[in-house]
Amino acid sequence: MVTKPETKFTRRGVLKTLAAGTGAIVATSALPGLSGFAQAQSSAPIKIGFQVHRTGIGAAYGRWYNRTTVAAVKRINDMGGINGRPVELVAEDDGTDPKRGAEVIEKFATQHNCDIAFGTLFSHVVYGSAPRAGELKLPYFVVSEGHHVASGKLNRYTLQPGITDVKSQVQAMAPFISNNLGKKVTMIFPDFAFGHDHRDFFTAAIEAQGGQVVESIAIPPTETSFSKYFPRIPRETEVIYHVMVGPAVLTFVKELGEFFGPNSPEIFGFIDSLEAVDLNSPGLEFLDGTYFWEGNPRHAQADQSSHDAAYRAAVGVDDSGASLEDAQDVSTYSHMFGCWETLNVIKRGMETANYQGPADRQKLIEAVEAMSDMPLSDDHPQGAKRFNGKTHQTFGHQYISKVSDGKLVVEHTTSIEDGLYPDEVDYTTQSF
Amino acid sequence: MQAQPAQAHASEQALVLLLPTDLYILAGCAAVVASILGVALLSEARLLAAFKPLSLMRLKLPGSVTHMISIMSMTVLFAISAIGAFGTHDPLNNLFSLTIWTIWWVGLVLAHGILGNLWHALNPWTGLYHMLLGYQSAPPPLKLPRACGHWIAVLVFLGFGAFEIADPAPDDPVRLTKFVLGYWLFTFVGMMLFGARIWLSRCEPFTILFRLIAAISPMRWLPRLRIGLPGWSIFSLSKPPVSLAVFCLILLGVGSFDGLKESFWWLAKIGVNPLMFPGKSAIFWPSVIGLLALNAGLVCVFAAVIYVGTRAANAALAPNDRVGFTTAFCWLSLSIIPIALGYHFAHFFIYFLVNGQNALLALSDPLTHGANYLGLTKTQVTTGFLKTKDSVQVVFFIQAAAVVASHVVSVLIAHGLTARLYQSKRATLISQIPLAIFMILYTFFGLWLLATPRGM
Repeated sequence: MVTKPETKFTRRGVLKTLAAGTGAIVATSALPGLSGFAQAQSSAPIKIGFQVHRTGIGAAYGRWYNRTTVAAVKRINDMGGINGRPVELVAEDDGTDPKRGAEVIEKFATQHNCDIAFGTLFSHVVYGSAPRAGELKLPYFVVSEGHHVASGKLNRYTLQPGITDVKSQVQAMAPFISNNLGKKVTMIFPDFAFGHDHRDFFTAAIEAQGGQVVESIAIPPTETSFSKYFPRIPRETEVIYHVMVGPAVLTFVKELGEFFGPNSPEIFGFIDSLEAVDLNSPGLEFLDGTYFWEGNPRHAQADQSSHDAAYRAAVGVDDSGASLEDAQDVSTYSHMFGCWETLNVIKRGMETANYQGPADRQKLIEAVEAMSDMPLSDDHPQGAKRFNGKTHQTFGHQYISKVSDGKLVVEHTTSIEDGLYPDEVDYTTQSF
Repeated sequence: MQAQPAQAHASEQALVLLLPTDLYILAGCAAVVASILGVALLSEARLLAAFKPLSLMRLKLPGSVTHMISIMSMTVLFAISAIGAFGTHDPLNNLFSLTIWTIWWVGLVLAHGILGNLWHALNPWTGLYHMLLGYQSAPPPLKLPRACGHWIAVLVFLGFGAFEIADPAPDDPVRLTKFVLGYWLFTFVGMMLFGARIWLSRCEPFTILFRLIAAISPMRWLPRLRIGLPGWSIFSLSKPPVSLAVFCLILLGVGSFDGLKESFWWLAKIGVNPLMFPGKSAIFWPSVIGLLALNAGLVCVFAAVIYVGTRAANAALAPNDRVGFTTAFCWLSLSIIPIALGYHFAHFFIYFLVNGQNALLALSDPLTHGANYLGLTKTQVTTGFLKTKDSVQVVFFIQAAAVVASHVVSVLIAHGLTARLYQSKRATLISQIPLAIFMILYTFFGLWLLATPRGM
């Protein structure tokens, strides 16, 4: 629910406002770049604490999350900022470390006086940081894909409005796989929570489609040679669903290709493990003909929307998903749109709530909770979204692409409904 | 659901695992074996002659100039400290963090391996020290006990290694500024209390490190420009004391653990799922203990190698011709320095290629105001060279070549140093057998570190 701000006019208040306004105009007139914001009640920037994986295992993603975020903020500022005020990013490196993540959240709230925190990708950092954000009553917008938000394990202050969660992604794959690739699936996954979640969610989803998981092969996380596991793949297998991650993932797909030769079953995987890898690189021919989930199609498709084109241009990415400055520098295209879209949700939320400062944080959360459908637009170039205010989680379209001559060609776009599942929490019932 | 989708994406490591690295490791070890056999056949006189440098022009660098450079260096340090303390909190945009880790720790150390001792002038202490105390300074108020040897430097360097390897946020600009300025003050107070020469040469690990690395560079500038085989100037050093010998070994130990700590093997040993790396905070103490254990282990193994070698060689020698264990240990520790430098290069090569770009961008826009003082045409950091199999292969070859070449240089230096200790060729060769095995195994270890999957 959105509450309208109460306005009380007192003589002292008016004088204070006038003084602040005059000061703000004087201040902004000295900064020509900010002159467009001078009409706002306060031209002080809205400070967004950007929790970014600059170092640690998330650094490769962090670099592109950073590029996308900087581009999105530039666009917002070019359009006049938020509520007439410029947006200032305050980036802090969390080292892709949960404990450090919580410290960074605290710095945003207490040292940098940020209005909100934003940007975290890796789930364990979200888990480590969200409780602190809740304690400090700092709205925390994550771009993580994890099911942690919608599962109800976090709090009222943590939201994921810009990217779908893995549970939804996995579930949405089942209809296409079942209808087009085959109904008898062998799952190969790393033997820990991440792989187990895929196993559990996909098994349920494919059974709901009349399909069947004929074998589940769990691979120890430290394994780097896979051929010995392949004889366990039943002959009747029509589709291999793999969610291998880590440095050995290319070895896995290569050995799988060598094991089956030209007569392999269909092979389906998640692009996460090949994010930012140039599929056109010599030596990766074995990926040809396999299918991947993509959060956002890396290669510009024949029916590319003007919104995707504008987004690519703003971030500096070419039609192959690589940096405009280096055609080999492939981006984390499947995920980074989440930063762009989340910032636009934050903008809309702050505008709806007439956000003026930290005192309006609750109003901001309520404004975002009140959101629902978001159409495909320059604000949402990946596709339309449907935000669930109760679970703080957005739902959207997913893409299933086939590797063809080193290019990811979209074969199917799922509907939003394919990824919906019953609510597991209602955060709006929690007090602030 | 604990999904961590991006937890271990396919980086250049995935492409490295597609390369026939077993063959490369074998080839690298074979090259070191060949160098050992080759040097065994070479006469010691020829080997030592090969290490004689070419003497070129005489150069003169007045103390005043050195001190001026030192004061400038200190001024730059303080200036960029302000950027560290008050500038952007993003360590990859902050010139201070990038200067300390990328330009200084990685870049300047490597530069010393090629250009010789630059730190002599570039250090940020001696200029101010001499400005305050003058050239004919009175004796320092305190005398560093002889027993201290270089042990303070050993401890400080291990502390530095722990900060780099185990600390959750060594790049954080504000924290790093505190550490660096604190260390600057610590060192300056040490110099004031115990005298600049004593403190810098025995207690300040980076002065010692730069001097040792410079000793294996082909160049020496003063008093005369001389160029020779890498390591030639090691032969002009005096015998290091035990504490300095241990320091040489921990240079390699810290670098080795820096590589090992990321391997699947190590992460499995400390009970961490490498595909779900929990962050450095969660493994702080295992990292510190691992660092100390590897260094202690390396010193013990090296001592055992030297002990076996000297014992075997001494067996057939007259008592007067025998070489003591300590003497051999101290001298041969110097032969480890090239390997330490080779590992430093191999370990940080990719880091330098990526963060070097960040450093360049930060130099061009030190205050992050959108300036481009250097007129750079590229505005974004790229890692494109890590995303194709061909370019990753080139990167791997360069790293592996550094490891192998450093071992070959070490073999040559070790043989030259041993030849000066023993009168007979036979004793020289016998004493070298354990060390040769150690070198081959360490080559294997170094190349394995490059090829093995990493989880952080």
